Amino acid sequence: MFTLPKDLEMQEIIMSIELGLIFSIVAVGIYLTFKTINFADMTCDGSFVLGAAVSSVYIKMGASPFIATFLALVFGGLAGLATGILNVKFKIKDLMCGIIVAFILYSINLRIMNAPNITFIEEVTIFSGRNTLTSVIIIVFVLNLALILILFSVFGLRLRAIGYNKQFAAISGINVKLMTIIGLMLSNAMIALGGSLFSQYQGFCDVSQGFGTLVIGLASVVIGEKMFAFKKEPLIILSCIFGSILYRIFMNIALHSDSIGIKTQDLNLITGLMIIAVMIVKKGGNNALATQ
Amino acid sequence: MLLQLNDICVKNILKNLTLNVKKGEFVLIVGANGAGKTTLFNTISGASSPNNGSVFINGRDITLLDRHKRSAQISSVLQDPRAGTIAEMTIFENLKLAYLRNRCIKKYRKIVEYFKEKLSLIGLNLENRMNEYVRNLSGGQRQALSLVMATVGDYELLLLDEITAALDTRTSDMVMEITSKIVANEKKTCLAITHDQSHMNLFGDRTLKMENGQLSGFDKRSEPC
Repeated sequence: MFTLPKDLEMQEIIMSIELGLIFSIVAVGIYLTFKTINFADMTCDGSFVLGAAVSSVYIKMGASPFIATFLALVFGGLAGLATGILNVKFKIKDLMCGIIVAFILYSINLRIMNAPNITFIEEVTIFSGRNTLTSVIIIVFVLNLALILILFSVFGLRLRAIGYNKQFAAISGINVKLMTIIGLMLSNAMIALGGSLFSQYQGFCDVSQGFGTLVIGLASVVIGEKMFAFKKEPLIILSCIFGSILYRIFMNIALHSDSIGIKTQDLNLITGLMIIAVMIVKKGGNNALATQ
Repeated sequence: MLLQLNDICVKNILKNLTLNVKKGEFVLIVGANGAGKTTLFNTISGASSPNNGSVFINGRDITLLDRHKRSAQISSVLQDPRAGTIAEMTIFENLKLAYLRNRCIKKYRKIVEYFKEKLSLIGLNLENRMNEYVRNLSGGQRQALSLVMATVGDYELLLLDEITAALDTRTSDMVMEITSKIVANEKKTCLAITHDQSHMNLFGDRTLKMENGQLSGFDKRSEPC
Protein backbone atom coordinates (compact mmCIF):
# COMPACT_ATOMS: atom_id res chain seq x y z
CA MET A 1 0.00 0.00 0.00
CA PHE A 2 1.15 3.59 -0.76
CA THR A 3 2.59 5.45 2.25
CA LEU A 4 3.85 9.02 2.53
CA PRO A 5 7.64 9.42 2.85
CA LYS A 6 8.62 9.54 6.53
CA ASP A 7 10.56 12.81 6.29
CA LEU A 8 7.60 14.67 4.70
CA GLU A 9 6.34 16.96 7.45
CA MET A 10 2.90 18.50 7.90
CA GLN A 11 4.32 21.97 7.32
CA GLU A 12 5.56 20.85 3.90
CA ILE A 13 2.13 19.50 2.97
CA ILE A 14 0.57 22.84 3.98
CA MET A 15 3.17 24.62 1.83
CA SER A 16 2.27 22.33 -1.06
CA ILE A 17 -1.39 23.26 -0.62
CA GLU A 18 -0.53 26.98 -0.51
CA LEU A 19 1.64 26.74 -3.62
CA GLY A 20 -0.96 24.54 -5.29
CA LEU A 21 -3.63 27.18 -4.64
CA ILE A 22 -1.41 29.99 -5.98
CA PHE A 23 -0.59 27.98 -9.10
CA SER A 24 -4.26 27.02 -9.49
CA ILE A 25 -4.84 30.63 -10.59
CA VAL A 26 -2.24 30.04 -13.32
CA ALA A 27 -3.83 26.68 -14.20
CA VAL A 28 -7.27 28.28 -14.54
CA GLY A 29 -5.74 30.98 -16.76
CA ILE A 30 -4.18 28.32 -18.96
CA TYR A 31 -7.47 26.40 -19.03
CA LEU A 32 -9.24 29.56 -20.22
CA THR A 33 -7.07 29.83 -23.31
CA PHE A 34 -6.30 26.19 -24.15
CA LYS A 35 -9.80 24.85 -23.52
CA THR A 36 -12.39 27.61 -23.21
CA ILE A 37 -11.34 29.69 -26.23
CA ASN A 38 -9.24 26.92 -27.86
CA PHE A 39 -6.15 29.09 -28.28
CA ALA A 40 -2.70 27.54 -27.79
CA ASP A 41 -1.28 30.50 -25.87
CA MET A 42 2.42 30.35 -24.99
CA THR A 43 2.48 33.87 -23.50
CA CYS A 44 2.12 32.52 -19.96
CA ASP A 45 5.84 31.93 -19.31
CA GLY A 46 6.31 35.67 -19.91
CA SER A 47 3.15 37.02 -18.32
CA PHE A 48 3.78 35.01 -15.13
CA VAL A 49 7.10 36.82 -14.62
CA LEU A 50 5.55 40.11 -15.79
CA GLY A 51 3.07 39.94 -12.91
CA ALA A 52 5.84 39.03 -10.49
CA ALA A 53 8.14 41.79 -11.79
CA VAL A 54 5.52 44.56 -11.71
CA SER A 55 4.34 43.77 -8.19
CA SER A 56 7.90 43.22 -6.88
CA VAL A 57 9.07 46.60 -8.16
CA TYR A 58 6.07 48.40 -6.67
CA ILE A 59 6.36 46.58 -3.35
CA LYS A 60 10.08 47.37 -3.24
CA MET A 61 9.16 51.02 -3.81
CA GLY A 62 6.93 50.83 -0.74
CA ALA A 63 3.58 50.85 -2.55
CA SER A 64 0.53 49.07 -1.16
CA PRO A 65 0.79 45.33 -1.97
CA PHE A 66 -2.86 45.39 -3.04
CA ILE A 67 -2.19 48.11 -5.62
CA ALA A 68 0.96 46.25 -6.72
CA THR A 69 -1.07 43.04 -7.15
CA PHE A 70 -3.79 44.89 -9.06
CA LEU A 71 -1.17 46.40 -11.36
CA ALA A 72 0.24 42.92 -12.02
CA LEU A 73 -3.28 41.89 -13.08
CA VAL A 74 -3.53 44.88 -15.45
CA PHE A 75 -0.09 44.30 -16.99
CA GLY A 76 -0.90 40.62 -17.51
CA GLY A 77 -4.06 41.66 -19.32
CA LEU A 78 -1.98 43.92 -21.55
CA ALA A 79 0.32 41.00 -22.42
CA GLY A 80 -2.79 39.03 -23.44
CA LEU A 81 -3.96 42.01 -25.47
CA ALA A 82 -0.62 42.05 -27.36
CA THR A 83 -0.92 38.34 -28.19
CA GLY A 84 -4.55 38.82 -29.22
CA ILE A 85 -3.78 41.74 -31.53
CA LEU A 86 -0.95 39.80 -33.21
CA ASN A 87 -3.34 36.92 -33.86
CA VAL A 88 -6.53 38.76 -34.74
CA LYS A 89 -5.18 41.84 -36.51
CA PHE A 90 -2.01 40.51 -38.13
CA LYS A 91 -3.22 36.92 -38.64
CA ILE A 92 -0.14 35.37 -36.97
CA LYS A 93 -0.78 31.79 -35.77
CA ASP A 94 -1.78 31.44 -32.11
CA LEU A 95 1.26 29.39 -31.12
CA MET A 96 3.64 31.85 -32.77
CA CYS A 97 1.99 34.94 -31.23
CA GLY A 98 2.45 33.58 -27.72
CA ILE A 99 6.07 32.57 -28.33
CA ILE A 100 6.91 36.02 -29.74
CA VAL A 101 5.20 37.92 -26.91
CA ALA A 102 6.79 35.69 -24.23
CA PHE A 103 10.18 36.25 -25.89
CA ILE A 104 9.66 40.04 -25.92
CA LEU A 105 8.43 39.97 -22.33
CA TYR A 106 11.78 38.61 -21.14
CA SER A 107 13.43 41.91 -22.12
CA ILE A 108 10.49 43.97 -20.82
CA ASN A 109 10.63 42.15 -17.48
CA LEU A 110 14.36 42.86 -17.21
CA ARG A 111 13.62 46.52 -17.96
CA ILE A 112 10.89 46.64 -15.30
CA MET A 113 13.06 44.94 -12.67
CA ASN A 114 16.26 46.71 -13.73
CA ALA A 115 18.07 43.59 -12.46
CA PRO A 116 17.78 39.83 -13.03
CA ASN A 117 16.18 39.40 -9.60
CA ILE A 118 14.60 41.34 -6.74
CA THR A 119 14.44 40.26 -3.08
CA PHE A 120 11.89 41.80 -0.72
CA ILE A 121 11.96 39.90 2.54
CA GLU A 122 11.43 42.98 4.76
CA GLU A 123 8.75 44.71 2.67
CA VAL A 124 5.04 44.44 3.32
CA THR A 125 3.36 41.93 1.00
CA ILE A 126 -0.24 40.81 0.61
CA PHE A 127 0.51 37.97 3.06
CA SER A 128 2.24 40.09 5.76
CA GLY A 129 0.59 39.73 9.17
CA ARG A 130 -1.94 37.24 7.84
CA ASN A 131 -2.22 33.47 7.78
CA THR A 132 -0.90 32.59 4.32
CA LEU A 133 -3.14 29.57 3.78
CA THR A 134 -6.29 31.47 4.77
CA SER A 135 -5.33 34.43 2.56
CA VAL A 136 -4.65 32.21 -0.45
CA ILE A 137 -7.91 30.29 0.07
CA ILE A 138 -9.90 33.56 0.19
CA ILE A 139 -8.18 34.95 -2.96
CA VAL A 140 -8.65 31.71 -4.93
CA PHE A 141 -12.28 31.35 -3.75
CA VAL A 142 -13.30 34.91 -4.66
CA LEU A 143 -11.46 34.84 -7.98
CA ASN A 144 -12.84 31.52 -9.13
CA LEU A 145 -16.35 32.26 -7.92
CA ALA A 146 -16.27 35.42 -10.04
CA LEU A 147 -14.90 33.47 -13.01
CA ILE A 148 -17.50 30.71 -12.71
CA LEU A 149 -20.26 33.34 -12.58
CA ILE A 150 -18.77 35.00 -15.66
CA LEU A 151 -18.62 31.70 -17.55
CA PHE A 152 -22.24 30.87 -16.62
CA SER A 153 -23.38 34.29 -17.90
CA VAL A 154 -24.33 35.18 -21.48
CA PHE A 155 -20.82 36.58 -21.96
CA GLY A 156 -19.35 33.28 -20.74
CA LEU A 157 -21.64 31.29 -23.03
CA ARG A 158 -20.35 33.33 -25.97
CA LEU A 159 -16.74 32.95 -24.82
CA ARG A 160 -17.15 29.16 -24.64
CA ALA A 161 -18.89 29.12 -28.03
CA ILE A 162 -15.85 30.57 -29.84
CA GLY A 163 -13.70 27.81 -28.38
CA TYR A 164 -16.01 25.07 -29.59
CA ASN A 165 -17.05 26.33 -32.98
CA LYS A 166 -15.86 29.65 -34.42
CA GLN A 167 -18.03 29.34 -37.55
CA PHE A 168 -21.15 28.78 -35.48
CA ALA A 169 -20.14 31.62 -33.16
CA ALA A 170 -19.86 34.02 -36.10
CA ILE A 171 -23.29 33.15 -37.51
CA SER A 172 -24.69 33.55 -33.99
CA GLY A 173 -23.59 37.19 -34.00
CA ILE A 174 -20.55 36.72 -31.78
CA ASN A 175 -17.57 38.95 -32.52
CA VAL A 176 -15.02 36.12 -32.55
CA LYS A 177 -12.00 38.43 -32.84
CA LEU A 178 -13.02 40.60 -29.90
CA MET A 179 -13.94 37.61 -27.75
CA THR A 180 -10.56 35.97 -28.50
CA ILE A 181 -8.77 39.11 -27.32
CA ILE A 182 -10.92 39.36 -24.19
CA GLY A 183 -10.29 35.67 -23.42
CA LEU A 184 -6.53 36.15 -23.79
CA MET A 185 -6.57 39.26 -21.60
CA LEU A 186 -8.56 37.48 -18.91
CA SER A 187 -6.28 34.46 -19.00
CA ASN A 188 -2.99 36.38 -18.92
CA ALA A 189 -4.29 38.71 -16.20
CA MET A 190 -4.90 35.62 -14.06
CA ILE A 191 -1.49 34.14 -14.88
CA ALA A 192 0.20 37.44 -13.99
CA LEU A 193 -1.76 37.52 -10.74
CA GLY A 194 -0.47 34.01 -10.01
CA GLY A 195 3.07 35.26 -10.71
CA SER A 196 2.58 38.23 -8.42
CA LEU A 197 1.25 36.10 -5.56
CA PHE A 198 4.04 33.55 -6.05
CA SER A 199 6.78 36.20 -5.83
CA GLN A 200 5.12 37.76 -2.76
CA TYR A 201 4.83 34.31 -1.21
CA GLN A 202 8.54 33.63 -1.56
CA GLY A 203 9.69 37.28 -1.20
CA PHE A 204 11.71 36.97 -4.33
CA CYS A 205 11.34 37.57 -8.04
CA ASP A 206 13.62 36.22 -10.73
CA VAL A 207 13.43 37.02 -14.43
CA SER A 208 13.66 33.32 -15.33
CA GLN A 209 11.13 32.02 -12.79
CA GLY A 210 8.49 31.74 -15.50
CA PHE A 211 10.30 28.88 -17.21
CA GLY A 212 8.01 25.85 -17.23
CA THR A 213 4.89 27.74 -16.06
CA LEU A 214 2.90 26.43 -19.02
CA VAL A 215 3.88 22.82 -18.35
CA ILE A 216 3.08 23.09 -14.64
CA GLY A 217 -0.28 24.71 -15.49
CA LEU A 218 -1.06 22.02 -18.05
CA ALA A 219 -0.08 19.30 -15.57
CA SER A 220 -2.55 20.75 -13.06
CA VAL A 221 -5.29 20.95 -15.69
CA VAL A 222 -4.88 17.37 -16.92
CA ILE A 223 -4.59 15.91 -13.41
CA GLY A 224 -7.69 17.85 -12.36
CA GLU A 225 -9.69 16.84 -15.42
CA LYS A 226 -8.71 13.21 -14.95
CA MET A 227 -9.33 12.93 -11.24
CA PHE A 228 -12.27 15.30 -10.73
CA ALA A 229 -14.63 14.93 -13.66
CA PHE A 230 -17.12 17.82 -13.36
CA LYS A 231 -19.77 17.51 -16.05
CA LYS A 232 -20.91 21.13 -16.33
CA GLU A 233 -18.25 23.06 -18.22
CA PRO A 234 -17.67 26.19 -16.08
CA LEU A 235 -17.35 23.92 -13.02
CA ILE A 236 -14.32 22.22 -14.63
CA ILE A 237 -12.44 25.23 -13.22
CA LEU A 238 -12.78 23.56 -9.82
CA SER A 239 -10.93 20.53 -11.16
CA CYS A 240 -8.02 22.83 -12.17
CA ILE A 241 -7.77 24.00 -8.54
CA PHE A 242 -7.80 20.47 -7.12
CA GLY A 243 -5.42 19.34 -9.90
CA SER A 244 -2.95 22.07 -9.02
CA ILE A 245 -2.95 21.16 -5.30
CA LEU A 246 -2.55 17.46 -6.13
CA TYR A 247 0.31 18.24 -8.51
CA ARG A 248 2.21 20.09 -5.76
CA ILE A 249 1.61 17.27 -3.28
CA PHE A 250 2.76 14.66 -5.85
CA MET A 251 5.91 16.70 -6.51
CA ASN A 252 6.62 17.06 -2.81
CA ILE A 253 6.23 13.33 -2.31
CA ALA A 254 8.48 12.66 -5.32
CA LEU A 255 11.15 14.98 -3.93
CA HIS A 256 11.14 13.03 -0.68
CA SER A 257 11.56 9.72 -2.44
CA ASP A 258 15.36 9.48 -2.30
CA SER A 259 14.99 5.82 -1.37
CA ILE A 260 13.79 4.96 -4.88
CA GLY A 261 16.52 7.08 -6.46
CA ILE A 262 14.53 10.23 -7.32
CA LYS A 263 16.53 13.46 -6.94
CA THR A 264 15.66 17.19 -7.05
CA GLN A 265 17.02 17.51 -10.59
CA ASP A 266 14.44 14.93 -11.76
CA LEU A 267 11.55 17.36 -11.15
CA ASN A 268 10.94 18.19 -14.83
CA LEU A 269 11.31 14.53 -15.80
CA ILE A 270 8.68 13.49 -13.23
CA THR A 271 6.34 16.34 -14.25
CA GLY A 272 6.60 15.39 -17.93
CA LEU A 273 6.08 11.69 -17.27
CA MET A 274 3.11 12.48 -15.04
CA ILE A 275 1.43 14.56 -17.78
CA ILE A 276 2.06 11.83 -20.36
CA ALA A 277 0.66 9.16 -18.04
CA VAL A 278 -2.48 11.16 -17.27
CA MET A 279 -3.06 12.05 -20.94
CA ILE A 280 -2.60 8.44 -22.08
CA VAL A 281 -5.07 7.09 -19.54
CA LYS A 282 -8.24 8.38 -21.20
CA LYS A 283 -10.79 6.19 -19.51
CA GLY A 284 -13.09 7.93 -17.07
CA GLY A 285 -12.15 11.57 -17.66
CA ASN A 286 -12.77 14.37 -20.09
CA ASN A 287 -9.14 14.55 -21.25
CA ALA A 288 -10.00 17.71 -23.15
CA LEU A 289 -6.39 18.78 -23.68
CA ALA A 290 -5.31 15.32 -24.78
CA THR A 291 -7.85 15.30 -27.56
CA GLN A 292 -6.97 18.75 -28.90
CA MET B 1 -36.18 44.40 -52.58
CA LEU B 2 -35.00 42.65 -49.46
CA LEU B 3 -31.76 41.30 -50.90
CA GLN B 4 -29.85 42.81 -53.78
CA LEU B 5 -26.60 41.53 -55.23
CA ASN B 6 -25.12 43.90 -57.80
CA ASP B 7 -22.37 42.78 -60.17
CA ILE B 8 -20.72 40.48 -57.65
CA CYS B 9 -17.30 39.14 -58.65
CA VAL B 10 -15.37 36.74 -56.39
CA LYS B 11 -12.01 35.70 -57.85
CA ASN B 12 -12.89 33.62 -60.89
CA ILE B 13 -15.81 31.89 -59.19
CA LEU B 14 -18.65 34.43 -59.31
CA LYS B 15 -18.76 36.52 -62.47
CA ASN B 16 -20.79 39.75 -62.41
CA LEU B 17 -23.59 38.01 -60.56
CA THR B 18 -26.78 39.99 -60.03
CA LEU B 19 -29.71 38.80 -57.94
CA ASN B 20 -32.79 40.50 -56.50
CA VAL B 21 -34.97 38.82 -53.89
CA LYS B 22 -38.29 40.36 -52.87
CA LYS B 23 -39.54 40.43 -49.29
CA GLY B 24 -41.35 37.19 -48.44
CA GLU B 25 -40.07 35.41 -51.53
CA PHE B 26 -38.52 31.90 -51.51
CA VAL B 27 -35.71 31.61 -54.03
CA LEU B 28 -34.06 28.28 -54.74
CA ILE B 29 -30.65 28.20 -56.40
CA VAL B 30 -29.71 24.89 -57.98
CA GLY B 31 -26.29 24.10 -59.34
CA ALA B 32 -23.71 21.37 -59.73
CA ASN B 33 -20.60 21.09 -57.59
CA GLY B 34 -18.12 23.84 -58.38
CA ALA B 35 -20.77 26.18 -59.82
CA GLY B 36 -20.07 28.75 -57.08
CA LYS B 37 -23.05 28.10 -54.79
CA THR B 38 -21.09 28.07 -51.53
CA THR B 39 -19.11 31.15 -52.61
CA LEU B 40 -22.43 32.89 -53.17
CA PHE B 41 -23.61 31.77 -49.71
CA ASN B 42 -20.36 33.03 -48.15
CA THR B 43 -20.68 36.38 -49.92
CA ILE B 44 -24.21 36.92 -48.63
CA SER B 45 -23.51 35.66 -45.10
CA GLY B 46 -20.29 37.69 -44.86
CA ALA B 47 -17.86 34.78 -44.55
CA SER B 48 -15.96 36.23 -47.53
CA SER B 49 -15.92 39.61 -49.24
CA PRO B 50 -16.46 40.09 -52.98
CA ASN B 51 -13.66 41.51 -55.16
CA ASN B 52 -16.22 43.66 -56.88
CA GLY B 53 -19.91 44.54 -56.55
CA SER B 54 -22.15 45.17 -53.58
CA VAL B 55 -24.63 43.40 -51.30
CA PHE B 56 -27.71 45.23 -50.03
CA ILE B 57 -30.23 44.17 -47.38
CA ASN B 58 -33.36 46.33 -47.20
CA GLY B 59 -31.55 48.96 -49.23
CA ARG B 60 -28.58 49.07 -46.83
CA ASP B 61 -25.12 48.34 -48.21
CA ILE B 62 -23.65 45.48 -46.14
CA THR B 63 -20.77 44.57 -48.48
CA LEU B 64 -18.09 45.45 -45.94
CA LEU B 65 -20.07 44.46 -42.85
CA ASP B 66 -18.55 41.67 -40.69
CA ARG B 67 -20.30 38.30 -40.60
CA HIS B 68 -21.34 38.58 -36.95
CA LYS B 69 -22.94 41.97 -37.60
CA ARG B 70 -24.95 40.58 -40.55
CA SER B 71 -26.33 37.81 -38.37
CA ALA B 72 -28.90 40.21 -36.89
CA GLN B 73 -30.62 40.21 -40.29
CA ILE B 74 -29.34 37.09 -42.01
CA SER B 75 -29.94 33.76 -40.35
CA SER B 76 -27.92 30.89 -41.79
CA VAL B 77 -28.08 27.11 -41.77
CA LEU B 78 -24.81 25.47 -42.77
CA GLN B 79 -24.20 22.35 -44.85
CA ASP B 80 -22.68 20.34 -42.04
CA PRO B 81 -24.84 19.96 -38.92
CA ARG B 82 -21.62 19.58 -36.88
CA ALA B 83 -20.58 23.08 -37.93
CA GLY B 84 -24.03 24.56 -37.31
CA THR B 85 -24.36 23.42 -33.69
CA ILE B 86 -22.12 23.02 -30.66
CA ALA B 87 -21.93 19.38 -29.61
CA GLU B 88 -20.48 20.16 -26.18
CA MET B 89 -23.42 22.38 -25.21
CA THR B 90 -27.01 21.48 -24.44
CA ILE B 91 -29.91 21.97 -26.87
CA PHE B 92 -31.07 24.87 -24.68
CA GLU B 93 -27.63 26.54 -24.72
CA ASN B 94 -27.44 26.21 -28.51
CA LEU B 95 -30.87 27.77 -28.91
CA LYS B 96 -29.97 30.50 -26.42
CA LEU B 97 -26.83 31.42 -28.37
CA ALA B 98 -28.83 31.56 -31.61
CA TYR B 99 -31.54 33.70 -29.97
CA LEU B 100 -28.99 36.09 -28.48
CA ARG B 101 -27.66 37.08 -31.90
CA ASN B 102 -30.05 40.02 -31.96
CA ARG B 103 -32.16 39.89 -28.83
CA CYS B 104 -31.74 39.96 -25.07
CA ILE B 105 -33.24 37.40 -22.72
CA LYS B 106 -35.37 39.16 -20.13
CA LYS B 107 -37.62 36.44 -18.77
CA TYR B 108 -36.07 32.99 -18.53
CA ARG B 109 -39.35 31.06 -18.21
CA LYS B 110 -40.86 32.81 -21.21
CA ILE B 111 -37.85 31.96 -23.35
CA VAL B 112 -37.98 28.28 -22.36
CA GLU B 113 -41.63 28.17 -23.46
CA TYR B 114 -40.74 29.93 -26.71
CA PHE B 115 -37.97 27.41 -27.47
CA LYS B 116 -40.28 24.50 -26.63
CA GLU B 117 -42.91 25.88 -28.97
CA LYS B 118 -40.35 26.21 -31.79
CA LEU B 119 -38.96 22.71 -31.21
CA SER B 120 -42.41 21.14 -31.13
CA LEU B 121 -42.88 22.26 -34.75
CA ILE B 122 -40.33 19.76 -36.03
CA GLY B 123 -41.92 16.82 -34.22
CA LEU B 124 -38.73 15.16 -32.98
CA ASN B 125 -39.56 15.45 -29.28
CA LEU B 126 -36.52 17.68 -28.75
CA GLU B 127 -38.64 20.03 -26.65
CA ASN B 128 -38.51 17.47 -23.86
CA ARG B 129 -34.74 16.98 -24.18
CA MET B 130 -33.60 20.60 -23.88
CA ASN B 131 -30.99 19.88 -21.22
CA GLU B 132 -29.44 17.07 -23.25
CA TYR B 133 -26.07 17.58 -24.92
CA VAL B 134 -26.21 18.06 -28.69
CA ARG B 135 -23.50 15.39 -29.11
CA ASN B 136 -26.18 12.81 -28.25
CA LEU B 137 -28.27 13.77 -31.30
CA SER B 138 -28.06 12.12 -34.72
CA GLY B 139 -26.94 14.07 -37.81
CA GLY B 140 -30.54 14.59 -38.95
CA GLN B 141 -31.68 15.73 -35.51
CA ARG B 142 -28.76 18.14 -35.34
CA GLN B 143 -29.60 19.60 -38.74
CA ALA B 144 -33.25 19.94 -37.70
CA LEU B 145 -32.06 21.72 -34.56
CA SER B 146 -29.90 24.05 -36.74
CA LEU B 147 -33.06 24.93 -38.68
CA VAL B 148 -34.94 25.75 -35.50
CA MET B 149 -31.95 27.73 -34.23
CA ALA B 150 -31.93 29.77 -37.43
CA THR B 151 -35.54 30.76 -36.89
CA VAL B 152 -35.45 31.79 -33.22
CA GLY B 153 -35.41 35.53 -32.62
CA ASP B 154 -35.70 38.14 -35.33
CA TYR B 155 -34.24 37.95 -38.82
CA GLU B 156 -34.99 39.23 -42.32
CA LEU B 157 -33.48 36.53 -44.53
CA LEU B 158 -33.15 32.80 -44.01
CA LEU B 159 -30.13 31.43 -45.84
CA LEU B 160 -29.92 27.66 -46.36
CA ASP B 161 -26.68 26.22 -47.72
CA GLU B 162 -27.11 22.66 -49.05
CA ILE B 163 -28.67 21.61 -45.78
CA THR B 164 -29.00 17.97 -46.82
CA ALA B 165 -25.57 17.56 -48.45
CA ALA B 166 -24.03 15.86 -45.42
CA LEU B 167 -27.01 13.55 -44.77
CA ASP B 168 -28.13 10.17 -46.13
CA THR B 169 -31.25 9.96 -48.34
CA ARG B 170 -33.67 8.97 -45.57
CA THR B 171 -32.46 11.64 -43.15
CA SER B 172 -32.32 14.12 -46.01
CA ASP B 173 -36.04 13.55 -46.73
CA MET B 174 -36.85 14.04 -43.05
CA VAL B 175 -34.89 17.31 -42.92
CA MET B 176 -36.56 18.54 -46.12
CA GLU B 177 -39.98 17.79 -44.64
CA ILE B 178 -39.05 19.75 -41.52
CA THR B 179 -37.74 22.58 -43.69
CA SER B 180 -41.08 22.79 -45.55
CA LYS B 181 -42.91 22.97 -42.21
CA ILE B 182 -40.62 25.70 -40.87
CA VAL B 183 -40.67 27.75 -44.08
CA ALA B 184 -44.48 27.53 -44.26
CA ASN B 185 -44.75 28.57 -40.62
CA GLU B 186 -42.21 31.41 -40.72
CA LYS B 187 -43.36 33.13 -43.94
CA LYS B 188 -40.02 34.94 -44.20
CA THR B 189 -37.73 35.65 -47.14
CA CYS B 190 -35.67 32.58 -47.88
CA LEU B 191 -32.75 31.81 -50.15
CA ALA B 192 -31.86 28.13 -50.41
CA ILE B 193 -28.87 26.73 -52.22
CA THR B 194 -28.80 23.10 -53.29
CA HIS B 195 -27.24 20.68 -55.77
CA ASP B 196 -30.24 18.35 -55.48
CA GLN B 197 -32.61 18.98 -58.41
CA SER B 198 -35.42 17.05 -56.68
CA HIS B 199 -35.82 20.02 -54.30
CA MET B 200 -37.04 22.14 -57.23
CA ASN B 201 -40.47 20.55 -57.00
CA LEU B 202 -40.68 20.97 -53.24
CA PHE B 203 -39.73 24.60 -52.69
CA GLY B 204 -39.48 28.01 -54.05
CA ASP B 205 -41.46 30.78 -55.65
CA ARG B 206 -38.55 30.99 -58.06
CA THR B 207 -35.83 28.55 -59.05
CA LEU B 208 -32.56 29.76 -60.49
CA LYS B 209 -29.86 27.70 -62.07
CA MET B 210 -26.23 28.40 -61.23
CA GLU B 211 -23.58 27.62 -63.82
CA ASN B 212 -19.98 28.85 -64.04
CA GLY B 213 -20.53 31.52 -61.41
CA GLN B 214 -23.61 33.00 -63.05
CA LEU B 215 -27.34 32.68 -62.49
CA SER B 216 -29.80 31.76 -65.19
CA GLY B 217 -33.40 30.53 -65.38
CA PHE B 218 -36.96 31.76 -65.10
CA ASP B 219 -39.41 31.93 -62.26
CA LYS B 220 -42.55 29.83 -62.10
CA ARG B 221 -44.58 32.63 -63.64
CA SER B 222 -42.12 32.64 -66.59
CA GLU B 223 -40.72 36.06 -65.77
CA PRO B 224 -37.07 36.68 -66.53
CA CYS B 225 -35.01 36.68 -63.34
